[in-house]
Amino acid sequence: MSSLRALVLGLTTAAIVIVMGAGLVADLRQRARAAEGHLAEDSQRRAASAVPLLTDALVVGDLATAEQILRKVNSDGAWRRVQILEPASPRVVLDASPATQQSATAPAWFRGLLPIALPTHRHVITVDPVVYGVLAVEGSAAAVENELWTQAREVLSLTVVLLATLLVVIGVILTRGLRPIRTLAERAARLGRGELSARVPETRLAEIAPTVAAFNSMAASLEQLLAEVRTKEAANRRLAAIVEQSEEVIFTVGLDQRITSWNLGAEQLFGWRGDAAVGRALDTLFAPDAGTRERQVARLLATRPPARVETTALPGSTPPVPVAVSCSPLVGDDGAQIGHILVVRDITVRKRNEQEMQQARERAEAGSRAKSEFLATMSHELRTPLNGILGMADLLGGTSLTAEQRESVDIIQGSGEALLQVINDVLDLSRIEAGHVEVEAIEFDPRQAVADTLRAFTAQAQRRQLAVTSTVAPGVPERAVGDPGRLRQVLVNLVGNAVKFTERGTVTVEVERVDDGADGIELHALVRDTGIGIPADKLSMIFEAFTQADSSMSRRYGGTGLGLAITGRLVGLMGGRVWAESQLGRGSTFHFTVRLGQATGERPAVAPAPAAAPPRALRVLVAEDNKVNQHVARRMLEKLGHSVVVVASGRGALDAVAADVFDVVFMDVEMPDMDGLAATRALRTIEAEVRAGRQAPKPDSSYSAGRRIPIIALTAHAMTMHQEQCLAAGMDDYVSKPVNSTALAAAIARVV
Amino acid sequence: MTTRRTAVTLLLLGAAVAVAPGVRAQTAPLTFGVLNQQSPSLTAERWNPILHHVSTASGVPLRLKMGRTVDETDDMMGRGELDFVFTNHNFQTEYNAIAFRVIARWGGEPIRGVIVVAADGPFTQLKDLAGKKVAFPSRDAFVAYAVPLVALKAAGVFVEEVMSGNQDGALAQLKARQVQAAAVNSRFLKQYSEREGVAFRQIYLSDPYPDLAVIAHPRLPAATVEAVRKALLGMKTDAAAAPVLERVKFPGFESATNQDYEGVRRIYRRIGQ
Repeated sequence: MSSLRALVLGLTTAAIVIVMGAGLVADLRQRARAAEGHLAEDSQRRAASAVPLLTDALVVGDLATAEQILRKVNSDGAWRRVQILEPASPRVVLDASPATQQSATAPAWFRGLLPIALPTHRHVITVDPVVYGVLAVEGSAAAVENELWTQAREVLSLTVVLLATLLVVIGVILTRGLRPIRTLAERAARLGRGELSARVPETRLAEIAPTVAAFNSMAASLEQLLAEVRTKEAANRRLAAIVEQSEEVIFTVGLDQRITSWNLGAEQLFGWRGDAAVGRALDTLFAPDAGTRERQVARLLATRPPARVETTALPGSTPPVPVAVSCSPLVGDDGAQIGHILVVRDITVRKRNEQEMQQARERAEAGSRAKSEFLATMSHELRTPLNGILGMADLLGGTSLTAEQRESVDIIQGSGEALLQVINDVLDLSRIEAGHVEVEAIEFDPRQAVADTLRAFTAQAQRRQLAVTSTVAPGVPERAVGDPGRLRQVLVNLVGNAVKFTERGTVTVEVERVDDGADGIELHALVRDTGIGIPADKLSMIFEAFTQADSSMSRRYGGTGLGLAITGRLVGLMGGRVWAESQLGRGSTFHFTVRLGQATGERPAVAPAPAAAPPRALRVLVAEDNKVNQHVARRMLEKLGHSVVVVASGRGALDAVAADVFDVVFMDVEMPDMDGLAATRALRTIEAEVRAGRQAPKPDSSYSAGRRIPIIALTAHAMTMHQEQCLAAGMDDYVSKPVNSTALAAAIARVV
Repeated sequence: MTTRRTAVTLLLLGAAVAVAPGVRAQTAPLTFGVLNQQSPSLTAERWNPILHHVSTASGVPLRLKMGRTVDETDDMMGRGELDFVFTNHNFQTEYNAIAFRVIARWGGEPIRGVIVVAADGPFTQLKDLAGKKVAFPSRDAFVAYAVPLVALKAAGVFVEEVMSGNQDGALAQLKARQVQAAAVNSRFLKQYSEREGVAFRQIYLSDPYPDLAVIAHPRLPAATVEAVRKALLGMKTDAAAAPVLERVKFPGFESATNQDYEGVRRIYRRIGQ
C-alpha cells in the first residue's frame, strides 16, 4: 500500500529536481554560450593587443621578448595554446603555451553538459609586405567550466536546502493534514466494528472538514437509524408478542384470502389452533350475509380501509358469535400489499346492551309520548270545560246583571282565566323542557313589541293606580330579526309580576342596546318596580320551576310560580340571560338580555290600513261535538251578528258545506266519526277537484271555482304541534279554547 | 639558445623569402640595417616597402635588420653583421677603421637639430633650460644629440640629459611633461607633430646637416653596391617606386659621398665620439 505522504514527497522531490535540473542545465548552457562569445571576444582582444608588441619583437628577431609578451598576455591561462607559426607553414617558431593547463575542477559529466567550443584564432604578424609569422591561439574553457561548476554547485546546494526545507514543510503539512484522515480511517474502522459512537474530532482544515462533518453526520444518522431500528425491532417484538398473546382476535390472510397468521384470541374465538387455522380459507370463518348469501368479510377485503363490518363468526365447536370485523391492508417491506390484517371483536355483549338500550329508549319514548299525550289530553280536557265556563261567563257578562251577579260573573271569569294561565304555564314549561319550543327568526320592530306589551297593562295599572312607564334608548333598532312573540311573552311575565307584586308606586321598563355591532344585536331590558321585593336568600331560586319567594305568595298573589322559570328558559333560547336585583320592601329589578339578528332587508312598506269595513253578517259553520261549546260558540258568534249552523262531527261539516253556502267554518279537531283534520283535508281535496274542473260543485254549496273556504281551527289542543297540524291539514287560522268573543271576531277578521 | 637562434634565422629567412620570391633561390638576402630612430615596427613600416622595391629593382635581395636599441644596431654595424646601413653613426671615430662607403643619403631638405619645449610653457631660449631635464634619443644621435649638445655647451647651458632611446620617446616624454625640453631632428619633429597633432615651441635650430646616409660595407662586391645604389637613387624617377614613396612620405634618396659628411665627423669629434 503506497503512502500518500511518500507519494507527495516523492513527486514533489522529483518535480523540483526535474524543474530545477532542467532550469539549471538550460541556464548553464546559456551561460556557456555567452561565455563562448566572451572568450572568443577576449581572445581576439588579447591577440590584437599583443600583435603590435609582437611585431616590434619579431622585426628585430627578438623571440625572447615575443615569448615574454605572450606569456604575460596569457598570464591567466585564458589560452591553452599560444604559438607563433612560420608564414604559410604549420611549423612552430615559438610555442608560448602554458606549461601546465588550468586544472579542470568540474567533473567530466558536467563538462559534457556544457560543450564549450573555442576555435583557434590566427593573427598574421606583418609589416607590409613582410610577414613575420602567424600568432595562433586557442582559448581554454577550463576557467569558464570551473566557474559554471562552482555556480552549479551553489545552485545545487541551494536547491538541496530548498528541497529539504520544502519537504520538511510539506511533510509537516501532510502529517497534520493527514492526521484527521488517519483518525477518520480509524474511526471508520471502529464504526465498521459496531462502535456506533465513534466520531472524528472537528478539524479546521477546509479540505477535510466537510468529509469529517459528513462522516460524523453519517455516523450519527447510522447510530440514530440503528437505535430506531432496534427500538422498532423491540417494539415489533413486543407488538408481535402482544398480538400473539392478545385476547383480541387478530389474524392475517394472504391475497388469496387464506389465513397466514393466527393469534391466541383467534384460537379462543374460533376454537382452532394456529397450525390448524393457517391455510384455511377466510370464507369458512364467517356466516354469509342473510340477505345476499354473500360473505360480508369477503367484500370487506375489497373495500378501501378503514373498513369495518359486523357479521357472524362461525366457531368450529361453539354457536355463532356476533362480531365486528375490521380490515386493513398488510403491506410488505417494498410497500406492496401482501395480504390483509383482520381484527375480529366479539360484540355479543355490546349487541345485548344495544338491544337493552333500544328497549329502554323505546320505553322512554313511549313514556314521553304518553306524558305528551297526557298533557295534551289534560290540556284538551281542561280547556273544553273551561271554554264553557269562560265562554258562558263572557256571554253572561254581556247581559244586564245586578251588581252582585256581575261580581259573581267576574269571579267566575277571573278564576277561569287563572286556571287557564295555570294550564298555559304548565304546558309552556312542559314544551320547553321537552325541547318542543323553537324561537322564530322573523323581522319585527323591537320598539313596537315593547310598546304593544305595555299597552296591554294600561287598564290593569290604571285600576291599581300604578304608573307604568317605558324608556327605549335611541340605539335600539326599529328592525331586527327574532321572535317577537317570545319577546313579548318574557316582557309580559316580568311586567305582569311587577304589576302583580306592586301595591303602589311605579313600574318602569327600560331597553337599551349593549352589543358592539360586530355580531348581531344584543338588547338589555330591565323591569323595575317599587313592590314588595324579594329576600336576598331567595333570589337564586326564583327562576326555578314551581318556586316563589314565599309559598304564601301564591296564596296571596296567586300564580303557579312557573312564570319566571318559563322566562328564564325563553331568554336562554333567545341567546340571553336573566337575573334579578331586589331589596325587600323596596322593590325589584329584573334584567334580561336577548340576541337578535340584523335586519337585512328594507323595511317593508307599511300598507295603509284598510278602511275598517263595517261588520257584516256572515254564515258561519261551527263543527263542535261538545254541547256546551256548541252553545258557547253559537251564542258568541250570533252576538257578533253572524248566523250560525252547528254540526257535531267532521262528516257533518263536509255535508253542511256541500249543502249550503258558508262564509267561514270553525272546525273542532277532536270529534267523533271524522275529526276536524280529516274533514279539512277532505274539504280541501274537493275544492281542488272543483277548481280543476274534475268535479262540478253543487248549487247552493260552499264550493265554487276559484273560492277557498276559510277554515278556523277551534280546539282545546293548545300545543304548537297541534297548531301546526291544523295548518298542515289546510286550515287557515287557529283559535285555542277557551275562547271569547274578541278572539273569534279577530280570527274571522283575519281570514275573511 | 641554439634552438632559438635557429628559429630566428628561419623566421627572418621566411620573411625574406616572402619579400623577394624571385631571387630567393639564387642568393641569400643581404642585411640592411636601419638606425633606431623609431620603434622597430614603425621602422619596418617605412623600410620594408623601400627595401622590397630596391630588392626588386636591383635584383639584390635585402632584408631589414636592426637591433632593439641604437647601441645594438651600432654593435651589429661594428661587428659587420649589416651589409648596408642607413645611419650616420659610422662617422663616429670608433668606426673609422671600417671603411664604410656612402652611396646615398636621405633625400629632401637637410636636417637640422632642434630643441623644443612645450608650446604653452615658460621656456623661450636655451638659457631657460639651465638645470632642466632635456630628453635626447640617445648619445649616439647626431642631429638630435650631438648638435644640440654642442649648441647648449656653446651657450654655456648645462642640462640634465635624459636618454629616451629614440626620437619618439624624447617627444613623448616632453608631451607627457616628464621633461622640460626635447632634442630631435627637424624632419622627425615635423612628422611627429603631424602624426600626433601636437605643436611644440622650437627654441633652437641648428645649421643644416645632410640626413642619414646609406652606407655599404667594404666587403660587398662593387657591382652589388652599385646595383643597390642605382636602385636607391632611381626611386625618385622610377614609376614603380612612386606608390612606395607616397606611402612612406619620402622624397627619395640623393646621391652622396663620404665627403658630404665631414661636418658630421667634426661634430662627433667635438663631443668626443
